[in-house]
Amino acid sequence: MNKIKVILSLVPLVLMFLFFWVPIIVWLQKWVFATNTISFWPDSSTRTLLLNTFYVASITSLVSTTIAHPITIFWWLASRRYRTILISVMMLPLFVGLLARNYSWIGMLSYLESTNISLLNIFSDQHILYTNFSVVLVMIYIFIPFAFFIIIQSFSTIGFAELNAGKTMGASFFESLHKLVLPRTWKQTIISILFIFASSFGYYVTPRMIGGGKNDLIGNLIWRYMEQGDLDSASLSALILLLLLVPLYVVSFILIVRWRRRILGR
Amino acid sequence: MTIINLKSPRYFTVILIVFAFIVSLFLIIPSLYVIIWSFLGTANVGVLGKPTVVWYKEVLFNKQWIYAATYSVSLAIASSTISTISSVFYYYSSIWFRNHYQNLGWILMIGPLFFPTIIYGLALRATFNANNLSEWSALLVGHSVLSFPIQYFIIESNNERLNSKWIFSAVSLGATHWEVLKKIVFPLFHYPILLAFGIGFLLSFDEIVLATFVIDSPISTIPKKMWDAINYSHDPTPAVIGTSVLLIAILCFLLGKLIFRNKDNGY
Amino acid sequence: MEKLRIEKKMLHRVKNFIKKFFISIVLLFLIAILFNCYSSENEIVSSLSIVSYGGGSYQKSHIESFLKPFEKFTGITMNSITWGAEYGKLKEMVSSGNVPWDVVEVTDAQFKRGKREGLFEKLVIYPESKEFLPNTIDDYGVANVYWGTVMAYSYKEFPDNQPNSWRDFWDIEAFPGFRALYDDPRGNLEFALLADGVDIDSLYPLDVDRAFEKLNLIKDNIRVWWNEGTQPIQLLQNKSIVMTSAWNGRIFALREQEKKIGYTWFGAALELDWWIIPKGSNFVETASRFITFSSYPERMAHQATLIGYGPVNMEALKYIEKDIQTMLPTYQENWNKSFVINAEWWSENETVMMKRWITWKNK
Repeated sequence: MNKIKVILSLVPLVLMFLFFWVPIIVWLQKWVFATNTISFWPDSSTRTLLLNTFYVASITSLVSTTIAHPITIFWWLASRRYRTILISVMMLPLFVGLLARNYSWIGMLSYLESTNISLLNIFSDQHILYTNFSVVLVMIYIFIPFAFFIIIQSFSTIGFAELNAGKTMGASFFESLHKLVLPRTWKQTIISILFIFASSFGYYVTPRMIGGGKNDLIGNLIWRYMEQGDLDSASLSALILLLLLVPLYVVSFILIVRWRRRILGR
Repeated sequence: MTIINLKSPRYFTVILIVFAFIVSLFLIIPSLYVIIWSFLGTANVGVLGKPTVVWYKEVLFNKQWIYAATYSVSLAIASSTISTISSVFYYYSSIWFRNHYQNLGWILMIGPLFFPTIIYGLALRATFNANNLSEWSALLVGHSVLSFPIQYFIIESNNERLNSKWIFSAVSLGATHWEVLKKIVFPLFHYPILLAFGIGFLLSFDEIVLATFVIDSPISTIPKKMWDAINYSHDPTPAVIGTSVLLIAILCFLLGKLIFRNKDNGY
Repeated sequence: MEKLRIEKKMLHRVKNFIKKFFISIVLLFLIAILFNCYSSENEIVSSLSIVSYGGGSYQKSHIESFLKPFEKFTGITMNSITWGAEYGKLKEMVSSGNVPWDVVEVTDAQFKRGKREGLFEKLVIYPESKEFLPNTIDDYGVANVYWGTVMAYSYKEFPDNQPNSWRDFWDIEAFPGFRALYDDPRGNLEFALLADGVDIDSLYPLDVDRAFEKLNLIKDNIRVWWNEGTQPIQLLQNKSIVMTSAWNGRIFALREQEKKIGYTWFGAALELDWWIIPKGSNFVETASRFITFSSYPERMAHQATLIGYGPVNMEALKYIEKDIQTMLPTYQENWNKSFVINAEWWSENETVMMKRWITWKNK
């Protein structure tokens, strides 16, 4: 019986190792370390794009998480009906599809421009589409639901009983929020920032469609190298990307393990 | 009609509700535009015309799109099944075992979350395409891996459904390990497992990055077909597909609610 | 009470049955998929796969002019695939030995590079016509069409004084407004040099530094670096830009609509597309037959009337109406105003230029 339990619990780990880590090792061995000249110092095109990518990814991750956090507090405090409505709103974009959503932004922003609707004169020439701003805006739009579903993890473990207990001991609502809720949720917030940062670092769909070719990210460069036939350069750029993300990986792993140990007891 | 359950300061409640409303609008409006665009769209993405079902006829009755839909749906069901079963097993191991390889499990599991998909796409290409293995299997593997962590988190976030008292009482009355799983644990997790399966299905159905790196043959998934199509057309095809998927999802959801009616629905 | 209990039990049984039925359908479907999908891939391998560079109306022109007639003529099932000229995919396919494509359309620069790198099969059958344009038949491929990148503009923005050359494109004062250019150094460097006064016959080898300096002058006015064929036309129609480079086939497709987009052949960049057989293809002889069949004058003429690209077999002009001939890149008047992109130079310098282009564009 114990053997069956062990097998059942090992199955997902073995699958994950075979399906994910083995291809990564094969790729590294075949296209990265097989080349004769390996230079980890990125060339000029990679350096330029890395800066832009870092900038876009940072803003996207920080803003999406900042927006998702109060929404999660709302979800936590809301009645059951409004919880359902909020979850449906968050899941609706997943049904509609990524390309369709990117297109809808192109459509909406083109329509605004062609009808000359002035957006509070924020932009000197009323053009939002094909700028860095539009790329960041659409990426924030895409990642808010992800941030929400990550942060919601921590809130779902907190019951109202603790808040009420704090209240009976004389703490105000904000004090309870500050001392009881936030300490238990900040780690998940950090994980959300790191996850969105890592995801947007390799993103190329939105910058290609919304960016107008002027706001490429490192993912676009890797894609270009693939098109050129330069698989070695593509893999090398991808490796640089990976090396930059390794510290992220380590930090998030530590955070997750410590959070789980503290909150879930395992 | 209570919106907020807990008694919080009024101004805080108002600000929170208004903020939630604005963000919800921000999330809904582009999706609504997709639906509108599918009915009012012209060949130019920024221009809306008169209501028409021409685009629906072009897509829904087109052989190529039907083949792509079959391919996508079959892939999504298969990959979601594999990843749901894996995540259920992993959840089982995480609640019943406190073992020394749990941290190793976390390292293995957390990888896909933080690796840019573009790198995984290159890796799959190097492993599958370069070794004459089928594209379908490459995508099956890729999609299962990508949805596995998210599905696990969904199942695990329903932890509070498990009441240890019930398990102890069952064991004290002589239930075996498997009986406890079958009659107490598993029935409580019907809904989260279904939800996880649904999320896995959607993630696979909408996945574009791996598809563009791996697929070379004419048979491709729907997102890959749409991605190829943007080179020659900005017509409302993606909107038609998005709206159709949404409609089907709503129908499935209602059907699921009808069949699997349960008091403890959670969300 | 008893009746209520029986009814509840029945309802419970029905619900259980529906649940089990639902689950079994899903399982059956899964099993069917696992057996089905693998075998359907095998069916495709036994027919001929033709890969067109670009989809939409261009792919349709291949299907109507070449694939369908060939299928009728030989009875072989033809599959039409599109690709975005991702040379990397082709190279990787050939080196892995897994080649699902039988005939591929490549650009001139890719043809030269692929020939050098040994990616193509030698043709078994060649077209016999003697009226092919020079250097359009090779041991490793036969050219299909000459297509052009022209300068297009919005008539509404410039109703009286229309821009006529790349110099006008660079002239922000006389022709104010946003522009768009193709997101590739190929073509753009030549346009910059033409705008800077370089003679059209003395473009190559390209003075790259001079070209980038000239591009710097217009960089801020480039709103979009387009990468999809349909984009420049849409941008002009959306009034997002006033001038752009565009592929002449896209403008040809609008010829029956109300005149809103003007264009000029002055300084247009012409490129050749080639049919090749990737090394490792299973049907080299049949693929060669297809390539030869596609080179027949009637077939090429049919394609030209659909897509507006110039056939390399000049015998095809006999079968094309005069008003359509005037819109083709190979029409004498248009040919004299344009230049042909030097594929040799680009095949040697493409990689370096692309890196420099990306750095320059994103700074």
